[in-house]
Amino acid sequence: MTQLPIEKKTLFFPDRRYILFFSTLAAVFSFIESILPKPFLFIKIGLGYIPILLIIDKVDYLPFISIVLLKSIITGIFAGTLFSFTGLLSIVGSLGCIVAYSLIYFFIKKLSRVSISILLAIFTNIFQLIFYSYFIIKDYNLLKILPLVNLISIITGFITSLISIQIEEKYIELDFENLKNKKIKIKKLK
Amino acid sequence: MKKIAKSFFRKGDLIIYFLVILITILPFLLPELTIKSNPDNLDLNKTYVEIDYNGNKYSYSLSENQTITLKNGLIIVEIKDKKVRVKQSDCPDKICVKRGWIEKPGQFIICMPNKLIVKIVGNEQYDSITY
Repeated sequence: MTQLPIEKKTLFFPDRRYILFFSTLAAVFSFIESILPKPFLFIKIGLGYIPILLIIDKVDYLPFISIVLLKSIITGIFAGTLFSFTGLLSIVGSLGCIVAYSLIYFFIKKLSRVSISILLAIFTNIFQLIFYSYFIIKDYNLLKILPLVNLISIITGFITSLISIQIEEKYIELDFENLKNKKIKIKKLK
Repeated sequence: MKKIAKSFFRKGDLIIYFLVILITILPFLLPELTIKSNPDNLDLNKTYVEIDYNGNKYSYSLSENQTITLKNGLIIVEIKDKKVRVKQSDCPDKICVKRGWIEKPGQFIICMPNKLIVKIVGNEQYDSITY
């Protein structure tokens, strides 16, 4: 049995419509994850962050933030949890992701994908934990499980970064060339 | 092949990993979170048992031995020797009964079917502080 060679495809994005593409892709990934069985209710790999990791060192600051926020909002609409407790936690996690991205924005080219992914996972989970312990159950004793949460974040962040590296090496190549350092106006569709 | 190796480790990662380790050991460095309470040193005037049943809160002294009956005698909460337990309950799984005795402030027993929370509330005294 011979394995067919896989063609590597190039995705070219001429304008800002890639924001919608990637936020919807991330939302679909996290929706798929939400219907998969989980060992514990709140432990999940975070498949939704794979498309976000693919573009993290290629796009600008504001598009990235809008992708991350749109991801949690669209997931909420898909799964029907937008205005519930789960949707709120998801948005808080996105805020944590944005804070981590802001911290590393200026030297992101000097970091590897694995460490970026681990940092994003840790900040997402820490923000969710702090929000949960201070505003929902109002008991800061819950912060004692922070080392355990960090350990889980390191494992899950490592797995997502491995998947995103494999996708980028074998299957698709992203082309954002026209977007860097250029202001492009979106043409209205007729 | 070089490209793959580069996406696994670069020099700037050391800062990130240092930050990750710092965040992980942070809870142990904060003094408020490392309090270990010793039941003998407790200020008993400020420590009491709080029972939250069906949304109503009742408080009882921890120092005197007593039994509290709820739901017409189906639930019995016992306070004895500065410890609390749920002695009897009519819930199906008996998780609250299996929890056993609690004695330190911050510990609690929860019985979901009966909407019951038994909690020890009080100030914890410093046994040791780590910096």
